[in-house]
Amino acid sequence: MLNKERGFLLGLVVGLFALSVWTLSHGLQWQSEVDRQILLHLRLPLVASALLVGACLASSSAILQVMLRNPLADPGLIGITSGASLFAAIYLLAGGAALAGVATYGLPLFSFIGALLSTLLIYAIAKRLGLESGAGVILAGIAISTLSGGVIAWLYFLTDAQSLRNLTFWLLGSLHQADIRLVGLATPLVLLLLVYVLRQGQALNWLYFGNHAAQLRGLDVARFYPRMLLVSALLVGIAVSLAGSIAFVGLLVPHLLRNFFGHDNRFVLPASALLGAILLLLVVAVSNVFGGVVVPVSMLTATFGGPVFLYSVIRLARN
Amino acid sequence: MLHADQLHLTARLDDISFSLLPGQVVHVLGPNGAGKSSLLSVLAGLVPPEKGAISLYGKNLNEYALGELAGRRTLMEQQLHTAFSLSVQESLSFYSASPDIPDELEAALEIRAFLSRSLNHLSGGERRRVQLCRGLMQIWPTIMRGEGLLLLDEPVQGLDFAHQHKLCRLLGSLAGRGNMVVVSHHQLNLAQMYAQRVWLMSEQRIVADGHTDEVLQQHQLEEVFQCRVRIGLDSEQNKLIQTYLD
Repeated sequence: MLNKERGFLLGLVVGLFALSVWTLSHGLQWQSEVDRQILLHLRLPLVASALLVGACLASSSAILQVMLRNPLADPGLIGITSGASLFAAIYLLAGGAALAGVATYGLPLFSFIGALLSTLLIYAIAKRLGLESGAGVILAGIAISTLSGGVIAWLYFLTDAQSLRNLTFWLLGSLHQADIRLVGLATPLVLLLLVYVLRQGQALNWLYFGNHAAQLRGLDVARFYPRMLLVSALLVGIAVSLAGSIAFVGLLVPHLLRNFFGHDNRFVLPASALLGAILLLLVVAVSNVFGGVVVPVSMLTATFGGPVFLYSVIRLARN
Repeated sequence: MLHADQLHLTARLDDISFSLLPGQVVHVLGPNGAGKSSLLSVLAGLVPPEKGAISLYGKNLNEYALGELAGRRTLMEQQLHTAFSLSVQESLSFYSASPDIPDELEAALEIRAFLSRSLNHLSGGERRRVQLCRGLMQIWPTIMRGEGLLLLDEPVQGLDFAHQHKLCRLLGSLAGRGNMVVVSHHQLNLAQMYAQRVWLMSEQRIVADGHTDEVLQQHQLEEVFQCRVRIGLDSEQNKLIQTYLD
């Protein structure tokens, strides 16, 4: 890794830390018990879930883009998110949310299971097609995604107004639904997964020229491929469980980093996790600027991300 | 040394046996679909044969750990494509321990001039030179010790004449160190000039294996390639091979 890249990573760590501290503490009086409660039960889960969700989405996309040989891949494209959405929809519309006590954990659990099951199904179909590489997974993913969308549409059609509102709210994605225990549960799992992912940079570099090139360089592709697909599904599953369906972050962050800093995944993976976390933290910070109004995450990511993505694409075309 | 014993792969390879000694350069010739690429993939350990065995330096190929094999042999495949706009420097450094291009490789392949450019912006021939360099750099320390196995599938495709000759000279010089080289292509005159040994392949089999002059015979080439062949001598008594149709 070059000094420029090391410096950028350090900058991201400092920025992440400073922004987290500001978002957690601004405007609070430390002597007040109410403020302490706000910090512990409102801001801490909010900031923590922003960090976790951003890191999970961006790093899983960075992995999937290389494995599927598609710089535009994100968890939405290959059906992981829609599988999670389908299970969340079934849970919400089947009245699961009405069950007291189960509501907090039932929805995240269902969407997490949905993400994992859809990934397994996608991989099984791709394997059956004899196309475990990029094209097979993408094709199977599109099929699962379309099928899930169809089932969700039928559920919309057949359900009552209140359940419909719950589902619509969830599908838009929000960072304000995680509670401190859920975040506490997810944090060690995400950290473990990220530590594992950050060690796979070199192996992912070998995959840029396809499975054969990686195998010739000494990678056991037959084992590596399903394992990394599962790790990506776990990361996406956790993100979707905490915040619903959030689009664009996954596509934008690794794309920007590769465009400006090159393709070395030993840099792209940690930088994606950090920048993804910062991006969602910015969304929380902007919500705070608007006086704590809950601004839909996808609205802000698209507003900031759209122009940046356009600039990045123009820069790529010029080069 | 590389030893293959009765290799078989349905519809791709049939009853392939040979022994290759350190320092030998073999040119593999044959029409499309004869099994040249399949043979190189099997020898590289990328595709296991359904029957038969391969041993490399006395050890069965499937007993090598993937990492160990990766330092011992290299295979340059015909199709190498990436959807990402990797720079030449990146594509070299990701696969080799040292990012610097050895002078011997640079002299033959001449790629330092476009190190910072994107692979996708290079011409077909330039891209092939980069891929050759990448493959050879991957096992360069082994090549320097003279213990490498170099498998190259149509490496001259798209190269201009000067680079075709420079590459063949480079392969000869690397073989001179003790490395084994197996290279497939469709240039009869390159084989005539640079091969020590030729495998002529047809319908998934090696139909002729021997010294270049023994294998590159008019009737044999005509039969295998289904094409007329004329072999003559130039003013300096060099053999020239021309193909044509009636």
